[in-house]
Amino acid sequence: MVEYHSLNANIIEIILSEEAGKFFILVHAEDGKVYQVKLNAPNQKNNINEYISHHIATVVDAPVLDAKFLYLDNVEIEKLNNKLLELSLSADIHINHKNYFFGIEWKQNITSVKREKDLVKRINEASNRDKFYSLYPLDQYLKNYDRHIGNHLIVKTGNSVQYYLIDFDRIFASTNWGMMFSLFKNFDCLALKDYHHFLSSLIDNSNYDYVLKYANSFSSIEDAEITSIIENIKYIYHINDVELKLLNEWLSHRRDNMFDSCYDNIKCFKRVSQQRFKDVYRQ
Amino acid sequence: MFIDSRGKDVHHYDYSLIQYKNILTHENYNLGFVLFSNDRKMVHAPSKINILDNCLDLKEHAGINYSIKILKEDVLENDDFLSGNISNSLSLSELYGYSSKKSIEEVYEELLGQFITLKKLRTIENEKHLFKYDKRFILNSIDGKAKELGVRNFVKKHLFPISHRQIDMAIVDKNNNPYVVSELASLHVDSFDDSLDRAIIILQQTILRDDIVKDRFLYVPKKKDVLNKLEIKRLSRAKELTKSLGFDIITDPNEEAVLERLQQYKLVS
Repeated sequence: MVEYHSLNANIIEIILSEEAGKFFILVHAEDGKVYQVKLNAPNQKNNINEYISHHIATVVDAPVLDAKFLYLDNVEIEKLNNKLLELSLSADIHINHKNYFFGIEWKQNITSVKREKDLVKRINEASNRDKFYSLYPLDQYLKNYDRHIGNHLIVKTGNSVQYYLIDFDRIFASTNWGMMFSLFKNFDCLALKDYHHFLSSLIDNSNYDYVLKYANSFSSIEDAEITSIIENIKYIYHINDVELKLLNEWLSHRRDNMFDSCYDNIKCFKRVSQQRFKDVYRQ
Repeated sequence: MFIDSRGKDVHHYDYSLIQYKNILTHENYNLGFVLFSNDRKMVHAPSKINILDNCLDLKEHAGINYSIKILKEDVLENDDFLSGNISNSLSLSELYGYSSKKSIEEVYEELLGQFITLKKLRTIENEKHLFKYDKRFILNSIDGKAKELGVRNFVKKHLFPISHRQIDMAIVDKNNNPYVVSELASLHVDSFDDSLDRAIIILQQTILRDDIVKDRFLYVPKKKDVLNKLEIKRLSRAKELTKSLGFDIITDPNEEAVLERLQQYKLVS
């Protein structure tokens, strides 16, 4: 079972994003590390989505950074509220009704990929390069439409270069779960944006096995793991039972259908010999 | 006979500083720079950050060295320059202008002396007036042109008494009340989005609270002939926003054009 520890933390600063009105906070936790916290925007579930994705990614061994639940005491919350007011920013802090916020480790020297043409070069430098292929089933499972070039990170520590996936606050095709009901049985190819076409163009006969291997790993998500996600959300956030039920159904239904759907989705990857893989996996 | 020899034999360069920020201590250092002429580019950056150990408390050398390697590759292998974060601690500043009669090699040596003394970023910010696309720089140019042309009712940075908001440019009546106002957002700087959002809010507030304002528009001067992808995206966002809110948007880079537009509305006395 994946476990999440909680730590006391202090706010360092608010970082404004290039996109208007978007921001995140950096906090310094008692383990000496800095964490990035995306607050829930009004009527949205950014922080919750980051948690769900991280939990699932950890279960299927996708490359994600370390994460914790960070506790901000009332003084810190007041400081945060004042700062948000000062900057005319809005966030729904009260949805985290126990003052716990999900945060992802903020590594000082982690580097984002800026250009599509550099992605393969960077991945090939990474010692965990095979984990890159987990993004295809992971984004399909969660319906994460936001895998643009800036959401691939690389960091070098000692002699080892590691690849990471970040930014999952727009899973379920949005930040507010509004599309969840209509999409929970949908396994169509992710082909909405240019970067989807770019990502699918990176898959060919030599690496399609990895995509299927990761698709298969979703089948082994245990019921207890899904229950743990639901219980954690109930404990940390104010979420109504109807939404929780829908989330439960999403996680279970898609787990049960993930491999077959990905197997059928060979058509999403034009550079893969369709018949060859069909024949191999039919056996 | 008077001979105007200004600008003769002057070369125009651009440079960007390679900056390191420690998020916990809030310290900023200039680790190097990238220097551009029309046909050349030179990068100065430490190949091994470890050499700075005796003067700086830098963590995770391997990570910083790797980021610098990526930065150098990006600058040297691509025609377009992307400012902004390379990693969470390393970034490339906006481009600053630098005019000199000297060769690029000599300017490189000058920059080395000026910036690679690890001054804190505060010092660098004070030198921001060098940046030709800076909002303050553009506003000063318009103000200078207004004075040159004798546009006496032009006011830079007018403070509204009711909303307590400061507007970038205004044409005022004899009682010093603005009746045409404009906000400026510089397209070529990293802070464009913030600047645009503030400009839109201020322009909207002048509608709500200041009846005397008869005409308002957003000024987003296109100071480059060819815009990069990001600038095109920024401009398109500004156009969409102004269209949805019913403001005009002016993009002409010339100071005279914006002054002409400001004076378009004629007050009937």
